[in-house]
Amino acid sequence: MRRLLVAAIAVWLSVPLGAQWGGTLRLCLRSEPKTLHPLEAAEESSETIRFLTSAALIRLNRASQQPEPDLAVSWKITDAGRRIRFQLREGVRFSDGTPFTAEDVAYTFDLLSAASLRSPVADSFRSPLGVLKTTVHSALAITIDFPAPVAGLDRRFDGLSILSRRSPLKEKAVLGPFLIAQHQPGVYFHLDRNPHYWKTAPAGRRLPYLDAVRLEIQTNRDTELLRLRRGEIHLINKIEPEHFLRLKGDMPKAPYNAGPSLEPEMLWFNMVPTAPLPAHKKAWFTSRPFRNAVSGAIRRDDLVRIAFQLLATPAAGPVSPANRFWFNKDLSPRRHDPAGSLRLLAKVGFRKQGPRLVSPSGQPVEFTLITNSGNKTRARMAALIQQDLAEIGIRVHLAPLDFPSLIERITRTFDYDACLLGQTNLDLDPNSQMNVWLSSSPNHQWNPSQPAPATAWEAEIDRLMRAQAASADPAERKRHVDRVQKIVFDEEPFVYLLYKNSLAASSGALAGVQPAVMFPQVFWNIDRIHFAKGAAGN
Amino acid sequence: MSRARMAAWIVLALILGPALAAGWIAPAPYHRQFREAIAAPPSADHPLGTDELGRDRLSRLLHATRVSLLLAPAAALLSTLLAAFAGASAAWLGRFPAGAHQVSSDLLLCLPWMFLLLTVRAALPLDVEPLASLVITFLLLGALGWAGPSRVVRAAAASLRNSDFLLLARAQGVAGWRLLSRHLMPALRPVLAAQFWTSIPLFILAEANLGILGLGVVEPLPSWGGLLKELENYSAIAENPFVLAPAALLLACVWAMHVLLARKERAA
Amino acid sequence: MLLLAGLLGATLVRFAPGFAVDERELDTRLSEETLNAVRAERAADAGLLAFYGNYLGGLASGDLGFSRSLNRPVRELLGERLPATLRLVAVGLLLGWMAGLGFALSGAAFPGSGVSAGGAAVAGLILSVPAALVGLAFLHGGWPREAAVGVVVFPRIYSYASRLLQETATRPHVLLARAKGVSGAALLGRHLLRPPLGELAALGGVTVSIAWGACIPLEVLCDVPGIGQLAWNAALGRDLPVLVSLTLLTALITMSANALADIAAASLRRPG
Repeated sequence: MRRLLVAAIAVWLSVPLGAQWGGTLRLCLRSEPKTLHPLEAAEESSETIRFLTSAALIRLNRASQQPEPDLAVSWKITDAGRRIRFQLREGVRFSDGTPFTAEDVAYTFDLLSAASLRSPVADSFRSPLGVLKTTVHSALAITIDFPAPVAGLDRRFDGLSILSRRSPLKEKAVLGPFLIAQHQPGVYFHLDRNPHYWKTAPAGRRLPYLDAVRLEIQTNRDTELLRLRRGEIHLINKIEPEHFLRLKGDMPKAPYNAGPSLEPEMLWFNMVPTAPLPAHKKAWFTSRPFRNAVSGAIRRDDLVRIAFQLLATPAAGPVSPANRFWFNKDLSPRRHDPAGSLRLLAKVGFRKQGPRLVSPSGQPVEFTLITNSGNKTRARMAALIQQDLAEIGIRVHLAPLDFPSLIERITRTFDYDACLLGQTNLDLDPNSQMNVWLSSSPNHQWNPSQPAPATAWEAEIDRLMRAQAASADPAERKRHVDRVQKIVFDEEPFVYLLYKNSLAASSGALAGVQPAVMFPQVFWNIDRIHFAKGAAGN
Repeated sequence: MSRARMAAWIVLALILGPALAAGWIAPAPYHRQFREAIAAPPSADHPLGTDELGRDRLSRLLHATRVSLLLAPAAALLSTLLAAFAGASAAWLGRFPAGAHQVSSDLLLCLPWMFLLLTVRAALPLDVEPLASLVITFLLLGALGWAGPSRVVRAAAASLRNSDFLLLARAQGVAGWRLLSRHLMPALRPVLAAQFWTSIPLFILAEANLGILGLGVVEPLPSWGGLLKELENYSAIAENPFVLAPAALLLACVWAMHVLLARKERAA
Repeated sequence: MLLLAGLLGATLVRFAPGFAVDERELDTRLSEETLNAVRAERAADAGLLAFYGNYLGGLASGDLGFSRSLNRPVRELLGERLPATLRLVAVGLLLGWMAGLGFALSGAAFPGSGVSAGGAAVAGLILSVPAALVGLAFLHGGWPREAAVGVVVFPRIYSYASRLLQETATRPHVLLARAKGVSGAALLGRHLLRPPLGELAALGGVTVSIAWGACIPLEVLCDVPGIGQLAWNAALGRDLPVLVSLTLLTALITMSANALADIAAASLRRPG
């Protein structure tokens, strides 16, 4: 509660009474959005458009990481997380003037339940145990019943845009701060302010401050940086460490560092029993001392310092230290200890033969590390890891692959030794990682879609993850999730390396920018961002 | 003019000589990471500075020159020879080869070959040695790169068909393979030489771009293409002009080859 | 021939690694059922002959299929993107031609003035610089992208045109005109340029093909929303209908350009 208050004060302070109205904010989209339908959005560009144009019942405040009322003024979760009742805001209208009512919420859930809809937001409200049910009590009150308890239920509504049942414009009638006015495919989106947006400034005038947002589609990151420096764009949502430092040199106020992000970089060994690998390699990869030894031989500090120019944080486990509630504070990143690694390996029969490490069955220890090509920081990390592991006598071959080839190997053929990749976490709640940890899930990368847990510790993770999902008690959930983090730290099915820092940039023209670690990092409070006094916003 | 030729020889020798001796004269192994000297400016220890992983730029440049300057011309030679063979036979050996050449070169020019390269990569073992991967890459480039040049060769060969010296040779009873090798090929040499030296830089860069497909040179082995890739990060060039060194070497090499081959054309 | 190109293109894509793979498969927010549905959807094109048959059937009625990676009908994608590429190619060609022909003509009109030597040197240098590098230089300099296409085609036009013009310059009617004291613009317009006009027109066809080929690296580097960028994205997404359509389009352009080139070569061979 105190945190909420602090955040509220911070927001209030960041919007001075004399804020300037008007202007066009410019920024870049990295690709053409694949869909403009808010319920189908699955990739960053589509989600950006969705965020800017639509509103949800509950929004997560990105600064406080707490849920806040948006279209709902209040809500109540009952039946141990099976039921949620919303009281809706009065007098809210869609961008075309159609009034917003509980019917629209019910309609949105109807659309969401359609079997043909395949998207992250739809899946987050689906349950294998049955379908949800909506009950409209009045124009402004609605109850939603779920077939089973849903952990962290209120937070799931953040990504759910409410659509209008009655508007002739269908999903183009929006409740968010902006609406799509013009779109030239492959080139730009021009968003105008929504004249009916419900939020108001302290003096009572309707937000947003900005008249328009222009999103230009730009894939080249160097060009994006150049345009920021020239003043042609105002914000960059995610900026590379190198660019961050270069910008710091000549525009010291432009770059923001919000600390560790939610996105870890990790490597894992292929533990699929049916993988087309020689038996001795399978034996290494499924051996916990081997994984621990590799992990202990990697200099995470150097990865951070050299590959990320200090703009990252060594990682201990699957939950980022930026995730304030869920992070297990008892864990700290594994120390670099090559001597310890060698001792660990010696205990299970590995020995040094000259400069090379030799396995118990006599093979020199070597493996291939695949990663996606074209990612510079990842390529650098791979090269650093290669030299680190050479110190304990392990030879690492590097094999960058294009993304589809890589996905084919890690999801279908399982023809690889080890993989270096990152993980995208858009949500703070550990439920969003359910598909990573359950041993039966196709996204359980090191050994996906297991019919039954292959190891005792995977069985325990399964049990803990299911238990936390079924509980509505935050303290109990936290205990389970802490235990999962500890098991993962000990077993290292994923060798966590680091968390990239959440880096953003904003030209000096803007005020009210408050970068956060959650998407959309730099414009999550777009309705309160405005041009600084005297700055031209055209 | 012979002064230019001298200069070209000297340039080539200056570039190739140290490169061949890279193993002995490079100040450090090309893969050694000096982790306390990341992206360092030039110094006594590192005459061209170090790259973003702390590896000695000069050593990498020397090794890269050796790799690229031996393999790219080999690939260029392969594609030029294929082009010469395909083009000349299309122009000289009657209707069927001409038709076949037409179809095959058209196809070669418009198909998405990237996917063949991907398939080749998938067929290779993941831990293929960097050098083997590089040789295969250049072989593929050479084998796929002949279509464009072959059309030029074919046009040139066709225009030679009625030239005086070939009519003379024919009148003297020279025919078939002998006519092709002794009379036609020397006459085509200017065209072939031009094709040869223009494809060298093309292949060097193509190799670097194939890195995206997981083909070509793999870390930590350096190649010119790989070093030139650093230029893509163009906003950093002003801070560290030494990343331009490989580009300068490439241009110098191409210039030298151009001069040398142009001279030969005239001599021929 | 066109159909063969399409089929071979489809074959290459179909049997490349990563076919029917979707980037969404790594999205941990998606449930198992959704992932299975995504996989099934992408695997629908796996039967190559059936796919190609359907594609050709659709083609006959103007339907080019649906792009799964971009979530749009291919026809719409091509329709949106063709103008940008056409503009790039057209303006680039115009610039390249003006420069190439300008140099070649002044070299022919004023022999021995050093223009031809300079032109040859510049053309040689540019010829050895790949299109991607030219694009990079233009991006860095902030110069117009169309000019980059111009730079790519310039050396070809120059060397071909200057060879043609030099041939023409030694023909009797030009020598006669010169002897009569005709020079400068009159010599150019009336005598030098007129005879090789047909060949130059055919050269235009060849340069279209070259400029078209340069579009992929240029558009990808410079963020031009054209066909080249589409081709690259489709390749990364293993988008079969888009790739087959683009192969057909490229084949069409290459073949017509080459046919023109052959006509040009034939007319050159005619005893003048």
